[in-house]
Amino acid sequence: MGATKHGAQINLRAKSGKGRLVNATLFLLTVLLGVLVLPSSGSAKDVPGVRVFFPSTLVSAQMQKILQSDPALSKLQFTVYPNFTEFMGQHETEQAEIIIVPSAFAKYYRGTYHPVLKFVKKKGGDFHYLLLAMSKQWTEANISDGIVGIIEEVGMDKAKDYVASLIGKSSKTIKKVTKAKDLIPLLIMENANYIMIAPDLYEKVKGEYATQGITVVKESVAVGYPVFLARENVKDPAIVDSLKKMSAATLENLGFDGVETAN
Amino acid sequence: MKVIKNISKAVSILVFTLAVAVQGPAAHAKNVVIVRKGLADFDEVKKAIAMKLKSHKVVDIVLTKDASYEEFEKPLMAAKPDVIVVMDNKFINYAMRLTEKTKSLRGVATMGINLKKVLEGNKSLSGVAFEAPALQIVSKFRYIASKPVKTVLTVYQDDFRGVVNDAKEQLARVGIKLVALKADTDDDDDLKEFLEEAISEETIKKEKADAIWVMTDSVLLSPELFAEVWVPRSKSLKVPFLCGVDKFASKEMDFCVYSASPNYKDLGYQVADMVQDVLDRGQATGVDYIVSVKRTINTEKLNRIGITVNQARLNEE
Repeated sequence: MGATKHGAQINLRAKSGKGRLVNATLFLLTVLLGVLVLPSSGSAKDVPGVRVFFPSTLVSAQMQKILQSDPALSKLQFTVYPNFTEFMGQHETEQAEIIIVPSAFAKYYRGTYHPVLKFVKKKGGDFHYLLLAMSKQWTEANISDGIVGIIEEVGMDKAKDYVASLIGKSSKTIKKVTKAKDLIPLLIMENANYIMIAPDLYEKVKGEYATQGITVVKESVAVGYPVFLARENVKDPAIVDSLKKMSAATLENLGFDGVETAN
Repeated sequence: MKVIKNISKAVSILVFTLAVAVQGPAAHAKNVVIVRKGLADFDEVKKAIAMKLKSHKVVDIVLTKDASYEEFEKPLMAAKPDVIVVMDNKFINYAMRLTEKTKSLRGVATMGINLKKVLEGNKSLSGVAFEAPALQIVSKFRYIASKPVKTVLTVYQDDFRGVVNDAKEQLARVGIKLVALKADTDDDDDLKEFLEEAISEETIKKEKADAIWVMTDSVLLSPELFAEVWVPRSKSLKVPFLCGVDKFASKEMDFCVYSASPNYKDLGYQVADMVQDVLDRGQATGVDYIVSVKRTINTEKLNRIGITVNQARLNEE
């Protein structure tokens, strides 16, 4: 009886001790998971300098050299990215004081950044994408059945809606390239039925393939040229003043005529 | 005690729910399972895929070239794939076998030879053909070369008829004529004779060829034919040889003057896009040609045949 009682007492103690230990462990693990996971969306590090990504026929090293060589910008540290994926990969972990990005980026990923400046051309601050096709089969009427090729400026999850907002219709799917020069081959090889490209980029790249028979299906709504977005807590506001003084030569090399204050 | 137990359970549930809610897209993450060889080029493609598809769970399975079908299937299915990515013809063939059995499984294939033919009619696997298409090789060369390129000569076997037909059409769209001579034999001696006749001064003159497109075909480019016909002809004929393999345009090989070969990082991005498309649409989407290529130029050899390069065009992106 004593042994049984003793044994029962041991069992009860064991059950409660083990059970309590399990519960405590579960609780601690879950809190730890929450602590690790919950703040992840706002945990990007702030870094100085200017990060740049926008579609161009300049390779990123050339663009970086052009910016870095401008005496007005000599005190600034520029990093130019060759494509959206690499830019975003860095941006999600480290947020630069200023980013120079396509206006689409400002629309979808602005976060706590605010627009300070924008590129302009003599004819104005915006342009219309050209929607081009090579085959007479692909017209404005059947965009919804077709594949549209673009230079990637927004992520996969936003590309279809973004293009639809520009051309007024949703396509079957979107195919993305990293360089302007890769758009026309999409049409020729029939990887895509349409391509959407800025007119000044099209002028620069169309000579490589000298393709006959590419026609303009329609133009997009007006789109702003690349914008300069400033982080909320920019340490040195003089950065923006420096960028405003970008030289005419630099602007010309980048394909623009001026820098203006953005709204 | 019971109160503490209940409170800890409730807090656990609350924190877990908040964690899932904040993660957002991670809650819709799919299992993307890659099966490949462990070579540097495959690695580069895999890294680009993983970077682009980081909102999904990417599982990377590296197998040796001797892996059996069972060694392929077991770890792949254990990873519970929503979509698979397979690289190399051996694993692509295994994937075709697997998707015959598991009809709901979809995949994207790349880094395999002649994918358009291999995957013809396949309803489970999409693909990105990774040989640089003639369009990219020839057009990009024409753009930077000081001499015009209006007609291009090539040789091929029947297995590559689809590739050649596409190349003819695509090059015609950019104003280039492709003259394609078919090898109607697979006997080694006859092949040698065929090549010697096809890649000759007489044929070039007859067809008014401005360049020769060297297709990446391991039979027509066997070590013997390479050494006995291709390399000697590339030295004696005064037309540029254009290839899809970067090593062929190296100074050391002294074979082609120009190559356009896969940009592996951009290939990874292209595959990743196709994976997302397959996930969104739930069906195969066909085989695309690789779009982004990198070039290698043997300037010295080019100069020897009287062709110079337009430096300004060369510097464009």
